[in-house]
Amino acid sequence: MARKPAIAARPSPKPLLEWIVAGIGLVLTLGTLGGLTLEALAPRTPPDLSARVLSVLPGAAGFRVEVEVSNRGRMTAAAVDVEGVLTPPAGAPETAAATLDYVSGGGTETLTLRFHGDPRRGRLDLAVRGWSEP
Amino acid sequence: MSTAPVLDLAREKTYAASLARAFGGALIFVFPLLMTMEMWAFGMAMEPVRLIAFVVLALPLIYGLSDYAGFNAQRGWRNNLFNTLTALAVGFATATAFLALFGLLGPEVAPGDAISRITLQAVPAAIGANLARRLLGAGVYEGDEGDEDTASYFGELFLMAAGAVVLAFNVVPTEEIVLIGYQMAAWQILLLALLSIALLHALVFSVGFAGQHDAGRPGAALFQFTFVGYAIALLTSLFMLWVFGRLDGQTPSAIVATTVVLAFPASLGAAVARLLV
Repeated sequence: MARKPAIAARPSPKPLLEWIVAGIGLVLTLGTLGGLTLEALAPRTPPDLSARVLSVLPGAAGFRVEVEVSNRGRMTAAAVDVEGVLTPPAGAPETAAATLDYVSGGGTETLTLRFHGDPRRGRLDLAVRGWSEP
Repeated sequence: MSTAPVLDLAREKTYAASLARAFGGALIFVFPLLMTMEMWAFGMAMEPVRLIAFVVLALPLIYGLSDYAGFNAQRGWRNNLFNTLTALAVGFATATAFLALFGLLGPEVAPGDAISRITLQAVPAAIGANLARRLLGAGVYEGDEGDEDTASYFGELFLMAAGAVVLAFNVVPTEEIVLIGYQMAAWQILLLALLSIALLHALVFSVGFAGQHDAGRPGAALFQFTFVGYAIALLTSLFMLWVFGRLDGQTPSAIVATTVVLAFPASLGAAVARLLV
């Protein structure tokens, strides 16, 4: 049986697995570039941070207040300084503070503040005091 | 008929073995970066434009590496393209799997940040996947020692650039590069630049880039390879520093200092590209 030279010169066929893996690579790379381009085209709004109480739990010493900090801006904030002031019904106000390394654009992070008094009695004011650029 | 079967198990098995090697290469190359804090932070703080520039410029690098190294012995543009895409798939898979395993892709990470974080690791992982044959498969293919022995002058310059990127990438995300630049006095920076050039020249000769062409003419090699190689190291360093935002808001003298600091590993990488790639 005579083989045609055109067929004989063809490169050996690729393994099916190679087609699948290369296809995944193509889709991932183009998808990533597309996603990044969309993100690059969206306006880079500065960080816009707010804090809210998630939960209050009694701890070994005092109370743990879990705080969620969310960033509604599209840029990342670094060294986010969060302070909580607990004003009990009677007595002096108590302050607790913590710092988050990063809160990414559109993302949320949680931190915990610790108070001696019960935050469920009295008034708890949360404030994001400031942040820096990463 | 002479048509080959669609599924040839032996062929699939050979490819699976080279794929496993590619995963190994990706992991060996990228684990220092996976375990570097700055790489996670840059994933979310980096401007998308810089990340796009980084990916777009890395694609020809990965393609070129397929030609000189690659994780299997086949050549030709079609094979290089398949090698490149496979390397990228392996890179993305490795980066995603290990970032997730390290707890760095949790629900608190915004989807856009997760993509950036993965991409930043996937690209060096893909480079590692393409170097797999060199890292892990030495001697697997008889009589195939890569194509760099036959590389043209520009091919060798490409290899130098690839080597510069490969070695410098391990340190470019770290804070230390900028810090070292701050710590050094002008004369120390000048000395580091001269030392980089001297080492580049010595290594280029001992490793044999220039040796084959200009064994008897070190002067010519100095201009053809050493100075050009250092220029390549400086330019790749400058680009990588820009990608990582290390040059933002810096004075020109600080930019020069930081670039010279990074160009030190970059020029070592350029000099030993033949060993790395």
